[in-house]
Amino acid sequence: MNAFKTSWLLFKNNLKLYKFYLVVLILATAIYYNFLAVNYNPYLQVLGEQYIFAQVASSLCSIVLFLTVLFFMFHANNFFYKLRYKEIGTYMLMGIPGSKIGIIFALESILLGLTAVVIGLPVGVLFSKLFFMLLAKAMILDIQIPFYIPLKAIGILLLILAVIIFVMGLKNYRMIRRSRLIEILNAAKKEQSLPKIRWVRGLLGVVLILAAYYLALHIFDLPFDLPLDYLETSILILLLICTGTYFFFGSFLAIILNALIQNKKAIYKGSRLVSFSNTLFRLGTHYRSLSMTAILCAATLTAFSGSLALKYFADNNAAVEAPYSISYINQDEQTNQRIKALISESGHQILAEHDSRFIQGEVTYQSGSGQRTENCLITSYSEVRQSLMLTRPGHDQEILAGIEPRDDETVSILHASLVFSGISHVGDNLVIQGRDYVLKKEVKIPFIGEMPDIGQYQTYIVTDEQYDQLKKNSEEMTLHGINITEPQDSMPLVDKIAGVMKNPGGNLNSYAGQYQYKYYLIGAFYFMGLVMAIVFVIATFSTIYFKILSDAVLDREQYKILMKIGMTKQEIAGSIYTQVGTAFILPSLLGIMHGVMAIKVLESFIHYQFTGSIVIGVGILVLAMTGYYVFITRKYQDMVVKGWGIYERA
Amino acid sequence: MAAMIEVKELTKLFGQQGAVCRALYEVNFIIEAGAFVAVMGPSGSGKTTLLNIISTIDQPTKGRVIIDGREINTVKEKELALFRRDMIGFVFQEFNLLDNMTIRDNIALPLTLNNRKAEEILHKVRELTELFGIDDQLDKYPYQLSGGQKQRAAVCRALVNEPKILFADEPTGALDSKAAAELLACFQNVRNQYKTTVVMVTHDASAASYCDRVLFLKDGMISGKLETNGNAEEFFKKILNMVALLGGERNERL
Repeated sequence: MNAFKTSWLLFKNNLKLYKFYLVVLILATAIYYNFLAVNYNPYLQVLGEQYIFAQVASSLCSIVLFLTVLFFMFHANNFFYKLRYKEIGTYMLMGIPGSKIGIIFALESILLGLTAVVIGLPVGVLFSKLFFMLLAKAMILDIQIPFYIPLKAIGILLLILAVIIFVMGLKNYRMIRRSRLIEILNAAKKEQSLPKIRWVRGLLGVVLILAAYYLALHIFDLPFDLPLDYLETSILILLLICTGTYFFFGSFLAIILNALIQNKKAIYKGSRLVSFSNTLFRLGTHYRSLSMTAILCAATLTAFSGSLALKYFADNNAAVEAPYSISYINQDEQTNQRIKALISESGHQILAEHDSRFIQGEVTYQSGSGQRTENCLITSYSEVRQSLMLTRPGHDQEILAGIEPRDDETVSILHASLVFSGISHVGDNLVIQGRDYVLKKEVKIPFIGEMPDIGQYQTYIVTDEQYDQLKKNSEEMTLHGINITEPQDSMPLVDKIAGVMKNPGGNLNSYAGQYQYKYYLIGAFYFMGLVMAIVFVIATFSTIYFKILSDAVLDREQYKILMKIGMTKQEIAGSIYTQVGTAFILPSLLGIMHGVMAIKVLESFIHYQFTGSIVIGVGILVLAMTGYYVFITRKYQDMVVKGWGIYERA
Repeated sequence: MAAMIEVKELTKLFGQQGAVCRALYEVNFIIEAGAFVAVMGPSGSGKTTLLNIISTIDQPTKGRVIIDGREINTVKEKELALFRRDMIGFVFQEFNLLDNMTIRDNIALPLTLNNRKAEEILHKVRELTELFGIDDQLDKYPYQLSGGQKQRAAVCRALVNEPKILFADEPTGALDSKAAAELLACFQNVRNQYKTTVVMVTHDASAASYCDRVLFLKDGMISGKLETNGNAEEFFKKILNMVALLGGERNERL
């Protein structure tokens, strides 16, 4: 039998073993194809500026995906090698030369890769229709993207995969060529040593992580000077987190577990001794994959919650910037009528109309050492309440709850286009139109929106009585807001309205204009972010999968001994749950904390609260992890207790 | 003396129909409490199968095993595990210590599973390891110990929950003759001090000569029994003769 036939036979026989690995590879290939296809689709290229954002997003994602897949394949490959160590030994004993075994195994891994490509590519092509539909929807493109197979994308994909597969094959060949029969036969007896207790490294790990967290939380108000800009600081945080995580699992955890095992009162209870000793013992070889799990878990959470947060931000900010579908100021009754006529001609229907009244005035406040006087807008609490009932139906009560001023108080609505506000004036004394007020709160809620002429002023809310007195000396202004059906498609209508207005450049604001301008950017990242979250979840799960199952292979003998000592099946199950749990919970927990910190940085960049997105992200991740935990523990139990035919044979 | 282990018409078959292998066939014997018994026989005679069945690890095809008055064939899986934990200690040829624990933790393990108090466990570990002369090795890991020390640690673990029976499967198989002699002396000590019944499978005649009684197995059946008269030298010779007669390891190539 020649080498090719032999490896084909081996491949077929081991298909059950490779099943999971193969599925992941197929998925990765399919997703990878789609990222590449975005770059080479001529129908997308006509989109101009919007397309560039999609391209950037997909290129970034494809690089990350490439690295993740590479890591994963490397990890899985080692797992299979360990599992089949004995098999290689048997062939050597039979007198087959190492070079030939090497070729057989290399061919087998190449076959595996080929299968993934042969199945994954068509799957990717089929799914590209769906992928592009979703992408177009996320970016609110109103064009049909025809089904198109970019040959260039396929070419590049095949080239990259061919290189990876070839390198893997070569690696396997070399690994086998280098192995010595005596080492293979003694592999089982090889002494694994306990991880060394390294105090400095362990503590350094914790310090690095804490430092990174501190930087993340205070990125804009560091009490010391860091000679780095925000981007460099973010990269520094990333580096600190990664090294810190490695040190944490490499050394700090060993210190903790060792201390725990020394404490006989705590450890001599039920199956704890077994679980914790095992975890500590395995740490020496497994800390890398534990750290990787933590980092991948953080990446998953960041990608997922970040996407949600961006979408949430875009939706909310669009509402703050453009509270109504169409709004304008300073028009006479005649123009009003013409605008309404235009709307009814357009096919859009008017859902609601609302007039918000306010006055223009001056505010004086303490800024640094001197006083500052600025133009501002002033309105009454009732005006804000009525406006919110229309602009944020259902949420108006909760928004209003904290902002009702007393007679000597005022609440300021930060102007809509404000993204950063480093300084807060809450609690300060302000002078508005010659009267003294205390600033109760600063909020970002929809009221005026980003009206070009007046949108850059802060709006101060005072009580109705105060407002009535203040407006005696000023001319009251009116913002006319109209909500229509399908505001996102109303750009042509808005252009027509601008044609009949006085000074449309300063007096007109629309949802369509605000939303479309900003959202396609965020839309692209939102969609790609979600796809990346899926990729990271798969990577996290498969890292855990191979780590835990290779443990199971090693732990079989141990659990056999424990059965003989008289551990019941329930106790063994309990011990397995604790042991797998520690290998699961710790990286997940650390990963979740890292991810939350990443979103916190995003929060400070965009100046927005993303608590909801974080909670949803963490919630879904915890649920998925718990489900996976139960699944993998069962699998481990099957392997350890019942024995798994395939492993037995190998 | 009362019977500790009673075996009645024990038969064990392996394999499916058509290719049945008979490992044990209608084996009968009684071992009294506090006895030190060796089971001898050539390779494939069924020694280990017999030990596995009477130590509750394996089930017989037919027949009954009664340990300390309890019929164990009818006991459920979970109870059986608890029964093993309380009644039986094991020593194996390959020591079977857990690499990832210190000697102290290895020995303490069976008691921790029973949720005994830590002080009590540590006291018991100290007492046993002093008896076996490894009390200065407690904080080491198995790979740092010699074969003889490892096997004594394994015996400590087997005895820590004060079992009524100690089963040993070729305990001297991986030891040099000096370490083997020390270990066997330990078994005798255990029997004398704790009144533990010791059942040992071996095919080493000199190891068997430390026992009070030797059962010979051949082709799954009891083919002979010997009892000591107190003189170890003489007993050893008798065993050698018996082995020669039955075709033991000396002339397996008949």
